[in-house]
Amino acid sequence: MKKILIGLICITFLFGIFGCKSKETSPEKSATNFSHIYMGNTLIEDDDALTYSIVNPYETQLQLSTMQIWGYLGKAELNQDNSFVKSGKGSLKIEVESNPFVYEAPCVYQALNQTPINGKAHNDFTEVTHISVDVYSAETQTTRIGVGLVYFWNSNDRNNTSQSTTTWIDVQPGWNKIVYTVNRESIIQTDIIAEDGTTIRVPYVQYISFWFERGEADKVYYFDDLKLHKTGTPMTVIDDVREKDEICTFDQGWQVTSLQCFPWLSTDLFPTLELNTDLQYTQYNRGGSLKMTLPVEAGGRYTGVNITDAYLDKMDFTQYSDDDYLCFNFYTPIENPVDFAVVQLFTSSNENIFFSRDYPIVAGKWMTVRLSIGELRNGPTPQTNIDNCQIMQVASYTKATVGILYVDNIRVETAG
Amino acid sequence: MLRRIVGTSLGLIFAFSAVSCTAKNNETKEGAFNVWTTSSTEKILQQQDYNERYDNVKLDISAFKNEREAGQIIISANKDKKLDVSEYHLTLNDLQDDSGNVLSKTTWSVYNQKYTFVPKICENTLSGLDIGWYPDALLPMDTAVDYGENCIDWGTVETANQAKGYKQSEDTNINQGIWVELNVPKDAVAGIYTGTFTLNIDGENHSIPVKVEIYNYALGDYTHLKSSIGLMPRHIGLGELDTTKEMYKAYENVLLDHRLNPQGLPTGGDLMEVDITKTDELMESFLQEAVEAAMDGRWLSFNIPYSRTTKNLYYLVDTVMQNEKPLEVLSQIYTVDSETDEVDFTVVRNDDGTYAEISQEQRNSAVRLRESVVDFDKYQQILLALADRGLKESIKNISNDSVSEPVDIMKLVGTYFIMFDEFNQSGRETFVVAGYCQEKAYWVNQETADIIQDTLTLSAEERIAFANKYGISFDDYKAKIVKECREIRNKIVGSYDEEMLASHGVYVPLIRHLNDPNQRAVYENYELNGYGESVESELWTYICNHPNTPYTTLQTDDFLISSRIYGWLLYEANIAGHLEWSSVYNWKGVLYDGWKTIPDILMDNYYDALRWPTANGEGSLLYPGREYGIYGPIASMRLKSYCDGIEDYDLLYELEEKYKERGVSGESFDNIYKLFYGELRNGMKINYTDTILSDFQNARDTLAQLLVNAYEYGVVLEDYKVQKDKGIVTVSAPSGVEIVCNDKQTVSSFGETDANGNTYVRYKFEIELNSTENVIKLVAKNSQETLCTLEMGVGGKAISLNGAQLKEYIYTSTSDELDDSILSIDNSLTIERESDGETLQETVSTITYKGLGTDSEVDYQRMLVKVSEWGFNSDTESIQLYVYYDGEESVNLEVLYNTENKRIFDISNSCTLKQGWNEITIYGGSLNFAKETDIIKYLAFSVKTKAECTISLGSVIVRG
Repeated sequence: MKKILIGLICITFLFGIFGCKSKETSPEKSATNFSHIYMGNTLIEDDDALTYSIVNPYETQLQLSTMQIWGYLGKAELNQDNSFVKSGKGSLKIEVESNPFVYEAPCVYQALNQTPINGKAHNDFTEVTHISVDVYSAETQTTRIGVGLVYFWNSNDRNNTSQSTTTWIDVQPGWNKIVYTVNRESIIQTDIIAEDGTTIRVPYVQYISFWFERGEADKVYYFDDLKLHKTGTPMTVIDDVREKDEICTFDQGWQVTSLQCFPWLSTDLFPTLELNTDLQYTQYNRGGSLKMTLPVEAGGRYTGVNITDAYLDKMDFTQYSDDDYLCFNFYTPIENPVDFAVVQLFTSSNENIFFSRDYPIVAGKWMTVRLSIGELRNGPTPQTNIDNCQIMQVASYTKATVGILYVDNIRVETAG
Repeated sequence: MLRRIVGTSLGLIFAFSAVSCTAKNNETKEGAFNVWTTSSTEKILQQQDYNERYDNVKLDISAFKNEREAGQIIISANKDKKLDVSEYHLTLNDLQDDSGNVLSKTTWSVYNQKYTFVPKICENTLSGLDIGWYPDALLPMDTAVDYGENCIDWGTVETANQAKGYKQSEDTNINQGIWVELNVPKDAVAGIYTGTFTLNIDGENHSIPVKVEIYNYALGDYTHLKSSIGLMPRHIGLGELDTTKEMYKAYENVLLDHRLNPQGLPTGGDLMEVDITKTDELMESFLQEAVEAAMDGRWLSFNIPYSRTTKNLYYLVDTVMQNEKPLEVLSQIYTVDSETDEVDFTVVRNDDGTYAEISQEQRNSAVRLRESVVDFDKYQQILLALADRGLKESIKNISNDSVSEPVDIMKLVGTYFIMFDEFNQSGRETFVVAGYCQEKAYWVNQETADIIQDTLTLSAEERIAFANKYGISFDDYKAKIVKECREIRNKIVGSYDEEMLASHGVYVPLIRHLNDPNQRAVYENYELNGYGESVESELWTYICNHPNTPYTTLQTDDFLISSRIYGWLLYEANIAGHLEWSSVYNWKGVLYDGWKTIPDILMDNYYDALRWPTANGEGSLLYPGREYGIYGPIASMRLKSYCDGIEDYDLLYELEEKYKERGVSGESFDNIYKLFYGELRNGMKINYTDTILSDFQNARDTLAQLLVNAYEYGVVLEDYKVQKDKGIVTVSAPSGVEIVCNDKQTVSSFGETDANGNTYVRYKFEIELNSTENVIKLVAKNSQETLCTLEMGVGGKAISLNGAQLKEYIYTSTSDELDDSILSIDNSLTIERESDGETLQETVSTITYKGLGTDSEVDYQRMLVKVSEWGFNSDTESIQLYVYYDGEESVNLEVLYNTENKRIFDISNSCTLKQGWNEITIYGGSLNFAKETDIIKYLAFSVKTKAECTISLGSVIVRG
């Protein structure tokens, strides 16, 4: 059913004005020359970026209603103190609480389909190359803000959310321009109904997510003018062609940027995810692998990534027999070892199909994990059934030192 | 039929005001607008015509002292003129009574109604409710003015309709409601106050006559109805963009001010599943909040947080035969000490509470589950910390002159282990986890109580100071804490299920499972069996997106009277607590996979009523104030109505408390209560009629009379019963006060002394019940004057049949035949029956079943009584039957019924016949009627035995 929902999302452009005297001002700007942008804090040139649209100018309460806060962020409110406004009369003040109800990863989700609020929809990323936002940091030290794209958000079941890897960007005290580069080619394609009523297939993004790190004291930021920068250059769609029995090879960048950390953890426990192209850390000395760098925390916290529908939706386990195996490989280097790997499998409704306990890993040596399809299909608990698998979780435990775990070649090995 | 209530019902409460103002007075701009009024018990939809209501121009409110009550002023813009209103402003004025007492204009709050869109009607009955714009959020009028919302704009409405894809079948007027809420001061003088308010519409003044009756009784400050209302910080954050404790507190405070308790304290987070023992800061934060709650009278209960651990649970199953097929049922759950390998806990226990023996053979066949369960070590740690903190705080307060009572946190403590919420809807593993956690919690409560008894202590010096300060000894205080700990109610949300092996706890079933006393008895008995007869039963219930109307609901697409009557229903059913899953559900859910939701679609907090996809408005009683620059929530009309119903619950509670002083039993009080409120409901369903709003106001008026009569004059209407075809009225009054009922002098009277040592006289009267509407009129007077009066309907005609008369109605088939499965029917016998201390001679029809023989596959014997002549329909209150059984061994009896339109029999009662007289009551509200006009055709009596047996049918009383 989920596929139907993400496969056909109606975007309409009805302008609902519900108050008697609308206080909304149009944030839309177009055809403005945009000759240079920044990557993180670094100025880069981009001649293709010709126009931009403002997703949120943060001028009115109604515009703030296009956002959601998650992870017990603290507070996001309209600021009208000119000292912290980049343009117009308002900006968004974000207070990241140091002492929340629950220590989850604090974040702000900016909705791109805003039709219920103002009739606008920004979900089609066919032409989007960059996202930018002006950020004022009231901190005295350099801090970090994470940016990501949410392709399919299911807040009722946080495992089953499809989103990009978070890109962390350093933020200096005072004003910054945060720029996030969009790999529109790797965004999941979704059917939408265009203005003219035709169905078109586009890279579809539901939300832009901003992630924060908690501190000893509350942190304060101001956001202004969240923009999508667009290009006229056509997009080349990546064709996700896989070899038979292949789930994920980690040979391409998008295969890493579509992974998601566990959002119920505080952000400082997110592992860093990278596409490794150093062949000595790939299983067969070719292609790439996932490099997961675990943060330092002596207590031993469980952290890792979800491999979700971008990969598993295309894997039809019913075609495999009980004699086949779900396999993948781990490697941990001698200089930064992790001690164990943990694998879990879930259905789309977050029912646990399989929990591996801890696989001890020998540092400096590629190891293969083989899970019997038969056991996963006919295990001791009623919900055990690999045929319903939608989420695969690969994780480990933090230590007092940085740990690195490489993962490669998730696949099915058939008995024949 | 229900639609008429929204669309056209005038009701008696409006009749008075209809004659006091001419149409000219309420028309403005040459008929472009009409200004009219209505009560706080109905929703006036934005786009619906109410033309016939426009003569109701007087704002007419009656309220108790210390109570909030509201009325509505409606501006209706005429579709034929389509003039916009640029702005309107309401000016309040002081009101006065005949003695010159003033009800200040400052006692009012004024709100502009906002309209939310209902895109589909979720209930599946033919209520007549329709999609459209329903009034709900109550925006303070000053804010509405600041934001330019004190207007009517046809273009804006049209645009909004287009955005929602809403096309009215025909062009309608536009209505804009103003909610005017009176907060009556506790020290107000009772009486009738009048005056005028002025509504200025685009410069044109319109005068609104106002009448307020203040009853001579003050509502108590605090509620007596426990509650557990979901208030999730996460959901608050979605609307307010603020998840701080300060914001949570602002929401908590609004719920508390509306007599509702959030499900837990702030530190419990979203669902009370937080390990507060993890850090000292968390524990301290929680304990401080608990102390504050214990010292704030608005709190009656909260659920303590819990955390999980994993444990090996073992379970056993038995095989039983059901419908001739073997069925496995859960029979035991136990745990094993990991070191000794001995069984260290069993859920099903011996009668003396010791662990049941689990044989090696059983252990070999047991199924082991590794499951996530409540961490009871931490649970106990929290209970002990609460007991300790309560005492420490009490000692600290000894020097605090503003505190007069010791701090008792334990009285508020309950649990709601949401990890096995609605356990019936899950598989066996959930039953195992729930059974273990519920039973374990009870025994941990007992163990903790023992620890508190042994460890909670004070020095001799502190004991003296404690007793001097609080007027209670430390030992008595400790005994109270210990007792409260033993009696902690561990709530389990779901309906009664025999596979729930735990024998302790309190079920929280959906309200539709509590339709009649027989259903309620299942839950009351479960609880009393667990806690013992000495503990007062604490029945809970909940609503959660269903059932829908005509059951009582909090849904947007339901009549407002529904949420108002909720409190009355709870009181009748002796329900002590109610649970609502959320009050701030600021999510837009889309249904998929049948029932799961994807709450990821951006929504407009004010204009989207459908959030949980199967119930408009449920889970969202509060709106985020952020969009209007208000810190904290904006209340809804449904919250106000819900709270008004709870205030009514508290008034009923206070009346019954007064009656108890006179020795009135709960049963007798129920008899009285049903007289003035009974026609508003049918079981837990609202009995929608064209006059329901005026009937409700009449019930409130009667309640006011009863309260004033009891508290001011000591006149107590103690009981009302139907005996045969007569009504027996029992009234008591202080010595020197004479009571007259229906212009008759007393039938019998005798002096008594009440619990306070006051002497009074009890009177009994008989009244005829031969009219379709029968009334009792009481007058209480002393030698000089009439003190108080009471006029109250007592229902329709009563039919009484003696058992001997039943013989001619008895058959064995629906073709009205009698076969040889019944050996004989004899109506010549008389059997004595005790009733209210009197011995009655019951003439009976005695039926002897032939018996089936041991080889028979059928194990019941049945006979039918044709009752169609009795007119037993959905409006019938009850049929009371007396059945005499002479067998030594009890047998099970099922009473079934059918109707002309429903030939298949349904079960109405299932009970055990014991030797002697058995009383069986069939409640109209608990039966299913396919049509409103249906009447019961046959009652079937099915005795579950194969042996020959005899039963005798005695009196039958049908109450209209």
